[in-house]
Amino acid sequence: MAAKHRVAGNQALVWRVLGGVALGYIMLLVVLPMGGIFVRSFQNGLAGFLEDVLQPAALASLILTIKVAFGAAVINGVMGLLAAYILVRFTFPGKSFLNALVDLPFAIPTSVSGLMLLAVYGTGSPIGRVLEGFGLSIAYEFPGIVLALLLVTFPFTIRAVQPVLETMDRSLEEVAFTLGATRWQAFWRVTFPSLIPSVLTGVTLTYARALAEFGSVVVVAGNIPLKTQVAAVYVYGEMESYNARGATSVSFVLLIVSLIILLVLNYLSGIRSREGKSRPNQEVKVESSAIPGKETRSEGVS
Amino acid sequence: MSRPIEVRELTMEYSEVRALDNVTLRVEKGELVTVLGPSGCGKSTLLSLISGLRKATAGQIYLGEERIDHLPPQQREIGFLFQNYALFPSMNVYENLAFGLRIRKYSRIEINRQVEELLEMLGLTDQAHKKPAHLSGGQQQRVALGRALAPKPNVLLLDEPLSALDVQIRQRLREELRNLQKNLGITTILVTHDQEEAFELGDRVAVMNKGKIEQVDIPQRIYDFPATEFVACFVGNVNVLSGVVSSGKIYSCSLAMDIPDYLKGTLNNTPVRIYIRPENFILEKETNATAKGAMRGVIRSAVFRGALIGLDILLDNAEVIHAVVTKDKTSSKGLFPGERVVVWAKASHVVSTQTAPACVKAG
Repeated sequence: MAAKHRVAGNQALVWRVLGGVALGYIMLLVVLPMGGIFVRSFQNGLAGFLEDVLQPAALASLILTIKVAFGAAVINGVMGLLAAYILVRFTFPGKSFLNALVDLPFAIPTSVSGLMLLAVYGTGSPIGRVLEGFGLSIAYEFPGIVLALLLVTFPFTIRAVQPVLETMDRSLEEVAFTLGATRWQAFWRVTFPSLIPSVLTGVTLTYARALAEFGSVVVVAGNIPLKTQVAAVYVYGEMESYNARGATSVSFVLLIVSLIILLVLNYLSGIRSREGKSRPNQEVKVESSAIPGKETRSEGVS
Repeated sequence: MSRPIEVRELTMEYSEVRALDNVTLRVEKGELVTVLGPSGCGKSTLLSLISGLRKATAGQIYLGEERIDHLPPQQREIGFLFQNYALFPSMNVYENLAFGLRIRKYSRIEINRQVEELLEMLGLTDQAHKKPAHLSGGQQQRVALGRALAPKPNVLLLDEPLSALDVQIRQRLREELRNLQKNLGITTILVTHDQEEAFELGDRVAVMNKGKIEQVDIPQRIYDFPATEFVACFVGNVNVLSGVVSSGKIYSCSLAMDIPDYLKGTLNNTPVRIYIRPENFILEKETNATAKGAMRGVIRSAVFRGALIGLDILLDNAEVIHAVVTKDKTSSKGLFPGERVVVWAKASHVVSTQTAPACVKAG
């Protein structure tokens, strides 16, 4: 008995230590640097912080970042949902290749993504020239930033929606068809409501990632203050010009926005897992033996 | 409103595999036909073709006089109850029931009236605002049924409607389903692998095997006069004896039986398989008197089954048969384990000359 208790006690101790290590790791990597940023941003008090943030270039970069990230999140939310639906519900040649391609933006450096866009839409390229004929230039302009963000973030919504759609019972839409619903109605009334949490997750991740994007934006849109300079690029620029406090103050704002977004995300995935738990019990007892009931039917008399 | 449904020469091929092979079936207005068969026999495919969710490779489907196999499911007005019910998880019971009516753009007042009526009929009034996840299996089944019935379809298709339920409530829901179907007078096809369910619910039963309908008839005749070897051994218990044809009779060991009409003209010494239901044996205690055209054996075991007793008899040719007799007879005739008996057969069900058995069954 005593030995058993000791073993249990030892195990509890081991887990307590491991828990401490994990917590310490998070503290070291996330909480401490955040605190560091906080302290540096406010080293001259709130006034200093506000002064940094309200610099025209700083403020413009923050507003631009929030705007373009929002645009990217909305566009990729819609397109990601569409792409996921098509990748799951339709069969067409090259589907698996296309599916593999979706993850590409995760795998290549974002500066390379930017270069890819410049090669296609840049001022020297044929498409770029055509677009310029219509008065729309991509490189070093606002649309360029959005395009860059779209490219880097498009896997998020697709990959958030796809698994949910795949596990969704297909007979839900089929039963809607038999009740008179068109494919469109079946999607909006039956399928989409169950996808909302995953779409929101995808959109939030997209937004968070778009806030943080640096490499592709700097390549495609450059670093033009008040015009195409996003916050991450501004921070880098301030660091380069030895304005550490200005850099950290803007960083702090970015951090807070990101933190809020991630908290929202956490809340959403909480909803999703709760819904997952209470999903209807659709376990179906499939015909367990080939000829059930055969043993029961031999009435009659001799 | 309810109309007859008919499929003619319906065939469905999934890349090389023939899931449905030249199936013809007519279900009259207000009739309930159960389709009985083992898993993978094509019975669910039949439903998906009638509903329009899949397109047949060949054949026609008629709703009344109207040909409908070119129509999409939305225009067929055929209700479909899926095996897993497929209730819309984001909608409550009321919304699930109202779905078909909303799609058809009924007025709010009309929808409310009809849904309230359905809730009342199905005993779900108290559950109207619950999500499907919070309902019991039986309640989910009723919601699914109500949702299929709400738009007043021409035909109702039920795919294993009771198989996902516990045995205890299955029996009750079976009766409910039967009453509801009769009261509404709706033409219904119910697919099941459960023979009791098929017999109890069906006005007629269609037995399917390997994509083909083997027999369509009222339950009693399916049991007493199986049309094929498969039906004989899939439905009910059956003994399979091997025998031969000899001068107008069939013999299994020393058991002699009349040859059925469809085998008249078969050559002597043709090997046959004979299917005999357990209750169709006549047993007597062995005496010294010669028992003509009978088999002899010994009762190996007796299993008490209430009013009936199941007897395993080891024949002298080492085959084992399973017979069922009433409790009275075992005592009045002295049919107890260890006793020697003579055995006649009242009737055979199917005699087959085909070399491969349609199904394997222990005697």
